[in-house]
Amino acid sequence: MTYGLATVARISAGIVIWAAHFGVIYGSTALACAREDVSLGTGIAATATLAAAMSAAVFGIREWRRRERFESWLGATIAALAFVAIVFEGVTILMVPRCG
Amino acid sequence: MSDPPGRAALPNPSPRPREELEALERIWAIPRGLRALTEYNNNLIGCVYIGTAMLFFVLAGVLALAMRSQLALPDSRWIDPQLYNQLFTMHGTMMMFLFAVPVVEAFGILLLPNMLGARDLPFPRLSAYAYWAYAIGGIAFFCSLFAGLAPTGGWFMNPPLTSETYSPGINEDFWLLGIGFIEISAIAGAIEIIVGILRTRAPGMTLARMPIFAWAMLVFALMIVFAFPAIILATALLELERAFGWPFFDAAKGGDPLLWQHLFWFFGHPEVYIIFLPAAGMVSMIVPTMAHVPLAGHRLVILALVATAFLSFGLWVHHMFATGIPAPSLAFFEAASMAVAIPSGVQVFAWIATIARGRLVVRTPTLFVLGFLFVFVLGGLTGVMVAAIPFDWQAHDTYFVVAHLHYVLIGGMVFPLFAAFYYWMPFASRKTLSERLGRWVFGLLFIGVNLAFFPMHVVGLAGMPRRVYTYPAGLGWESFNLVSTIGAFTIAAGVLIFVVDLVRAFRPSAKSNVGNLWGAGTLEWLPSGNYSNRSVPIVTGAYPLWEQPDLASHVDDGHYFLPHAPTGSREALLTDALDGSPQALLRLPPPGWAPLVAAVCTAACFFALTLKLVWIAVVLGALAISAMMHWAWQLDPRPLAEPVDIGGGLRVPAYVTGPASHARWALVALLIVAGSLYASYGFSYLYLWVVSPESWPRIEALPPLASAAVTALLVAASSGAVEIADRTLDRRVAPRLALAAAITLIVAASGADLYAYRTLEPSASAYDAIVAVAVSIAAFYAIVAIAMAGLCIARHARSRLDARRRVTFDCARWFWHYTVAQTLLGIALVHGFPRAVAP
Repeated sequence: MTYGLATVARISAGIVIWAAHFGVIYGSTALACAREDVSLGTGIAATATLAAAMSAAVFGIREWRRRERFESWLGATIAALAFVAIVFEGVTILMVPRCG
Repeated sequence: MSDPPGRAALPNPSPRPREELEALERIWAIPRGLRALTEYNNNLIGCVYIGTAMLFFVLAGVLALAMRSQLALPDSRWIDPQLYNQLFTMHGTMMMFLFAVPVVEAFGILLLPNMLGARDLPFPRLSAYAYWAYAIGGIAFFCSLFAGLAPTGGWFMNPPLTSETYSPGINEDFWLLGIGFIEISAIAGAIEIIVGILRTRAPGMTLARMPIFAWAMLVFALMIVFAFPAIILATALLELERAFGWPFFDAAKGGDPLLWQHLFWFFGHPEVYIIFLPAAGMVSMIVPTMAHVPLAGHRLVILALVATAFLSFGLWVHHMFATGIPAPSLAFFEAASMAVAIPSGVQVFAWIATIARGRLVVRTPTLFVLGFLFVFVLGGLTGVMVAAIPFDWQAHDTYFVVAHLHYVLIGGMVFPLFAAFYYWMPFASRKTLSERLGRWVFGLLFIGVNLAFFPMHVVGLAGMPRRVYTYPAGLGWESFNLVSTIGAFTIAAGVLIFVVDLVRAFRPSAKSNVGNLWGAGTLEWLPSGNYSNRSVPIVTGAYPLWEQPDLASHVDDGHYFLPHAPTGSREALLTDALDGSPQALLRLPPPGWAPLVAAVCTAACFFALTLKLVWIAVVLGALAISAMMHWAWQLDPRPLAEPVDIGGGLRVPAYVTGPASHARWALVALLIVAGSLYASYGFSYLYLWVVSPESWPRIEALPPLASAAVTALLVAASSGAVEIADRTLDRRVAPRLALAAAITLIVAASGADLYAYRTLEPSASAYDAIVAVAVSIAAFYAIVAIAMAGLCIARHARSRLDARRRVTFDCARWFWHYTVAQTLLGIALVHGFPRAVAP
């Protein structure tokens, strides 16, 4: 009998990292644009993107090593997709630097 | 369950006595006559639930026909603008809230127990309550049309159009209170489904072996739990603005109408996937059966479901591209919209690969699946178009968007649903639907949908705005509109044939259904009765009926677990969330009136509130709460001294507490709902500060920190009192005194909080209003926690609660601690944040 916090954490870590990243980049740029202090928002968003992408990668690789367990396989692949989404979303900071 | 037993290891290999089956049939029999209304069994509730949802589908479809008749020719004066506004609002609202979400929830309630090898869902009264609340509330909501009182603001109800200034009268209140209420029913069903899927699966059914439909429903229910609270908060805020003038959405007083759109679409975009994912789950069940091979990429499809679900929470702003949000924010949402295409693509390729690998048998369900792929992919392609911001600015609020959303929703949800009707009819009925008529239904629907909605792309690009009640001749829109109308009536003809066939063939029966007509591999096709399967099987793969050839006969002969009713009542097996190993016997309630009475009174209470009959609403609310208290009194049955034999020498307890208890799991799901609601509140608070910091008070104008400290101390102390009750449950008076102390402390805390904020003027500024909401939320949770503690005191006094029989207390205790934590967080936010950001 396994009661699940560890399993829940394993499956949802990628989701949590992605959600935290999304909240931070959205919140920081929205606030920065409202207060007309763009560089701060971009700085926070860029740092958050690097940190989140690295955490998703590290976690994903760790779980992938135990992928014979279904829950670890799922956690690893979710983290991989979260990594892709984080990079997709984060890279727009370079492409759309102004609030306009 | 790591080494699955083969034939030799059947738990009950010897023949079972006849009386066992007779007892099962007697215990699970549906009451006759009027008392059939008291039945909660998932077979009955599931069928009437689906039937009610289909009724709303037809009614909302009739509204669409009225609109299409109006638009068939230019300058039509048949329907006046006011009625037209009601028609499109009701059409959209009913299709989304009264048809799409309920019908998939209903399919879950009907199919899941059988698919998982369970007797019933773990909270059958909750399903019954959810159903009745929805059916009564939905019908009352629809009838507002006949009194000219239907809402007019469109299905997303944007303020300021829907504020008291621009929409006086009670039309919009019908939407806000009616839909807010139906959301609660959807959440109740979702909690039921989550716990059912995680805790009542057949032994051996690991998460990896769980049918894809069950995975889809699990994801669906979790999405409801996270997404619906945002809309509940939004409807509450808008209703407060309309009823009491609290200006959350009024820019002149420091509010912002865009706050509504954020909250609405934070729910509204996941909603699209809430509708689509279960339909995709149905397709993932139908395709392998029709192709006679296991689903290609089973695990990848599970991954795709989970990934689509979480990414869908990062898409909401793509409904708001035209609202002037800063460009970097738009870019994040555009990128997220592209990322979500990956998991959706995985599913489509998995279905195509499955079809390619097997021999596809083309019957009506297959046709609808193929139609789904075609129509949905077209809708997906226009989705990529409107996800591109510059294009969206052109197409926004035109018929192009109407075309896109109908392609996605009809393609993504209605076609799979019709496939599901044809596919699972042999499971639910004594007769199947006609194959010949089915081909007609498919043909008419497929042609009708493309005829009705494809021309809308063109008129949309030609500039026709959505939601206009008529249009002038000479703009080049006439012929397209006429074709759309012909298409709409073609769809109606298809649905009519379907309904006629349904009336002809649908004879619901769990016992003498047609059975495994398609040669499917999943458990719902085992022989069954109202008690679901005769015995609870041990499964060794994702397609047990294909992999374990004698499974059906062994299950039906009672050779697996629980072939009898050892406690003489309705029972289910509570199993481990990961591998399904048996943990406990769950005693289920016999039929009763409480959920029906509670649902009728809750619905009537909301109805009276809409009509502003406050005192009648109070009386009805009290009746509803009494019915719920009666229901709660029956919960938490007396523990049995001895563990119960479920077969194979396995003995499991018939009463469990702590993490193994199913109540704990439901409570966790409920607390996620509460947490999500509070997160939406926190977002609203911070959002209002972002848009108008000038209306935030200076430090001198805030209540003194000492008052916040007093409230915090009192609240925290109440948790301590509950802990004392926890440690003294075996004593006579101590726990009751401790709980009474906890109630006193939390009442005092609420009083202190109200006193600290006595000078608030919620109708004067959005800041005052949003702080007043924090105080009100704290008070509301305190009232619920007090009611739960009061129930515990009463149960303890009547010897229904002690140190062993304590599930009721555990629920109250954790709810209490949650309430305290949330209140402390609220104090930190409303007292601390203005101080932190003060200039």
